[in-house]
Amino acid sequence: MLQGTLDLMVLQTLDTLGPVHGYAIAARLEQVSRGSLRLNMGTLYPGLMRLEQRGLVRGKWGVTENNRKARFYSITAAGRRQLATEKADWDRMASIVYSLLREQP
Amino acid sequence: MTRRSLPTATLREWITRVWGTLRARPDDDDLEQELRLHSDLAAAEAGRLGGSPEDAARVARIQTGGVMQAMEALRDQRGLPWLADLLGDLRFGWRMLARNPGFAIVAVVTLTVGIGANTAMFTVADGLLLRPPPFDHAERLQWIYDVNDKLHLTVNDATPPSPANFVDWRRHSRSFDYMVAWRNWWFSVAGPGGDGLMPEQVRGVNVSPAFFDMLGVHAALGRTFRPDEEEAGRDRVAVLTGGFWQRHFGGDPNIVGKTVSIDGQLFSIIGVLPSDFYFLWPDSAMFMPMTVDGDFRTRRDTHSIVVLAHLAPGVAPAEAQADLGRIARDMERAYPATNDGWSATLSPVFPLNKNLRPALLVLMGAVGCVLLIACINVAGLLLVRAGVRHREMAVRAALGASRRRLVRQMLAESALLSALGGAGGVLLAAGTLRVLAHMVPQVQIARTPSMTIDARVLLFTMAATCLTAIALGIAPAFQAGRTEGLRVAAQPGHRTSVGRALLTVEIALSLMLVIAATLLVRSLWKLQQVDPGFRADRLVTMQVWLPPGKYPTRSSVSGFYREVLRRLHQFPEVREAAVVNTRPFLGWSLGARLHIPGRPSPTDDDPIVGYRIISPGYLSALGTRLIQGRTFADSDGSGNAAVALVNEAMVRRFWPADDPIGRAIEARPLGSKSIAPWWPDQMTDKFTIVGVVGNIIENRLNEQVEPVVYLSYLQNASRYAHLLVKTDSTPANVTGVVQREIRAVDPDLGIYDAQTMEAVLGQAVAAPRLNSFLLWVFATLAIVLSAVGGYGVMSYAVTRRTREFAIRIAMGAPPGSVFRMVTREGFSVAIAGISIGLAGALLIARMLASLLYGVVPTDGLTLSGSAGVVLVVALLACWRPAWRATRVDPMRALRVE
Repeated sequence: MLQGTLDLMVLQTLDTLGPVHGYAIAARLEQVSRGSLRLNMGTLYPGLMRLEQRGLVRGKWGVTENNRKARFYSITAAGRRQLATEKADWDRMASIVYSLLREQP
Repeated sequence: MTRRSLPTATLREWITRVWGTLRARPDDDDLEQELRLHSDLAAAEAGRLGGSPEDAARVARIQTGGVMQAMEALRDQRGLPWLADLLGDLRFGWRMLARNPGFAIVAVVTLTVGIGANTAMFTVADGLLLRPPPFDHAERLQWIYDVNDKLHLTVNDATPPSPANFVDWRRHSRSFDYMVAWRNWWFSVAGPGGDGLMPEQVRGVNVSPAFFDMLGVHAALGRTFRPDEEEAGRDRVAVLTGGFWQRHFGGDPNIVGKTVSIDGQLFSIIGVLPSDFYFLWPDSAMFMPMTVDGDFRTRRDTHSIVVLAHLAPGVAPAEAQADLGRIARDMERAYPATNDGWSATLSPVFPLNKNLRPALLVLMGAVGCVLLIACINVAGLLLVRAGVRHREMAVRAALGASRRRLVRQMLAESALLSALGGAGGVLLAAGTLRVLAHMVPQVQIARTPSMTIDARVLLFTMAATCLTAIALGIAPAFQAGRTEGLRVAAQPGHRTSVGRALLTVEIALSLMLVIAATLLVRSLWKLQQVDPGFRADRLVTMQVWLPPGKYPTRSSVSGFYREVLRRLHQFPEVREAAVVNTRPFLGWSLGARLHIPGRPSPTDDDPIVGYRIISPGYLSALGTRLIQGRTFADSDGSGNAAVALVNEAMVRRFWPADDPIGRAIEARPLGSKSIAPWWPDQMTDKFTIVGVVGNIIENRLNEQVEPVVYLSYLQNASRYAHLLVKTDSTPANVTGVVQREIRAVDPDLGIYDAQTMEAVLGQAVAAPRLNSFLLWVFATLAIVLSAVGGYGVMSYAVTRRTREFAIRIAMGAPPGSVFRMVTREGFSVAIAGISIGLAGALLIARMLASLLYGVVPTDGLTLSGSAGVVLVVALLACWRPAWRATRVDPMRALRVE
């Protein structure tokens, strides 16, 4: 999976769900993709760490409903700006690819 | 999809990761807790879908991956793995050095000396040769000199152009965006009126108005010249240098617009230059326009101005040269009487100090050799240690360290040593430069190099340090890279042969340096032995300039000097006082065309000879011999016959077989009265020779003395003159006396450039003295380092062979034979090194030849003497290891093994 794609999906998920922990992000992506996207921890958590290092998401320690300590991630203002540009890029690219593939010779 | 990330976000990530690397306490627990939660939740989810808890955990692990693998990925993302490795290597290297402080200190001191000497030398070379001057496109600045094939005048003669030709070039050439003329002279400055400032004699420069625009220099106060200010009537304006403004006018902020008197003419001050401005002369006080009037425009045969031009953008020097050549040919046709054979040639102004280049190259080469020897020494020490650490390397390789990792470890250690050496080197260089700065000869044209360690120098030092690290690390790293598993070789035997090879190179390099240094010292000694034809001791000299406005006639000039000399002779401490138009070692002198009636010149033109106007005491003040006839007397005045003295060189050239006394000659000085202030006012140009005097060396100690004609100061007047006073008192005292007596005759006059003739002669050998001093320092460093290196290598060799010596001694070998075994080994290395060094010295002979005087670079005595010294030092270095070999106690040595 492309790194940028993961960033885009994580940012979008956080923008939709609000503060959630890592497992919730993975579960949400799995649910949205109807089970076709299963994120490895070794992919998801370094990705989250990178987004945090870049100031696009912020992690805070909190407690889950089962009373376990967990880090809850939320999107920052810079993250929202980045999400907006990446979404626009994605839309443009997707429409280009779509019209290219659908074009009759 | 394109991955667009904000640069600030990327920067932020990197800063965080560097911080993550350097942070002392990693937060591994937090990370692991997070991952555990994830895998637990995944297992719970899998359990909810059915199956045994074990199956659920297995499914979850397959889906989410292992906690440990994720931890590894997180750690890599948290910091920068390579930075962490590097820090670890450095930390480990530091511990290894700290464990063996003796080795570390020797290595760091050696590298400090090597890098420090290079840094200091580079700073000097950079200041003198490389650093670009702070002017607009300085690389486009060119001198324009006159050349004449028919008169055999080349660019090396630096013949100044004539004013009218300059005006034509400036008008017709298309290759330059600026062309300016300049000429410097001394001026008495007084005023502004009424505020009681003492008159002062200073160096001023007349320049074409475009001068400052050409250099891109703006006034710090007021303005520089406007183009029309070279026209007569608008030219009474002056620009002050920052230094003169401070010194003479006390930094008066309202100076612009005030009027001063310069040689009795009123000038208005229009601007003050920035205080760091320096071009042409270190002591320039002010600039005035070079007036272009009717006379200037028509002077074609007086070569009396210096011309600077600035190439237009995109014009190559060759194109500009062709352009000038075309104009010169046109001018030859238009003015055949004055321009026959004359043309112009370009010579770049920068880089400066081309004459210093060979010496600096030799010195940079020498100091590079010192660093190379330092590197070899430390590399030798590292190799010895690599032998000791062979086992450690093998164990680490066996434990899974990759070959690359081991090489990196060794390189990190050598980098650490080099970095310490580099830091020490900068400190050493800073200290050395304080001493060195005073010894660097005065350079003209652009600002005196500051000789400080700046960013450029630090960059050089960093490069030198990196090269050092690589040079040091290569051998041990190679060694470490060859380590294979647990195959610990007992003691690889080739290491001492590498040590011997390195030692041979050291000895060869040291010998080359010692030879070069000895040659330079012998050459300096020969130079100082040269008899200049006069005695400089207790001789004080100073310059006097009489403004024409106040001293319009020949008799007024003669009268002034006669009165000053009469007064000086009354002081008991003045043994002799004399006047001459240009003193020896002034840097320039006046020439004259000599015509001998009845003798046609072999070429079209009369020969040029030196031209001096002297008072009767000149010869006795200098201690120069009168060889034949008589010297001048006060009776050789305007009422009597015009007389001349000639030097031996002149007799040898023009009357080799005849008696010169009583012969008639005609001498006309070069130049013209209206242009050249030093132009002498002659009573007549026909003289009778009355005496012959000894040759005096006046320019360079290694020169042929030119023919010179001497004329009487009472029959020929020069407003520009030098006083020479032979004294029993101190120079400062005499200078004070002269100053007072001159003021007593003319209260407006000051003296300029007072110094002892010994100091003047000292300047003449300043450059060779500095060269030979520095080379001696480098040669000494080289030989000391080599001795230390040789001692180290031999000691190691002896230590390694302890068992062998023990067995030999136990078997009854006499100590003498063991001693000879070790010294023979040292001797053979020394002989090999000396042979290579001698061959190397012959190779660099041509480069050295240009720096030598009176000694050939292949001088046998120097070569054999230096070789002897190096051999003795090499044998001394292996003396102690050899002695130790004889003291091996067989019982203890064998038991240890």
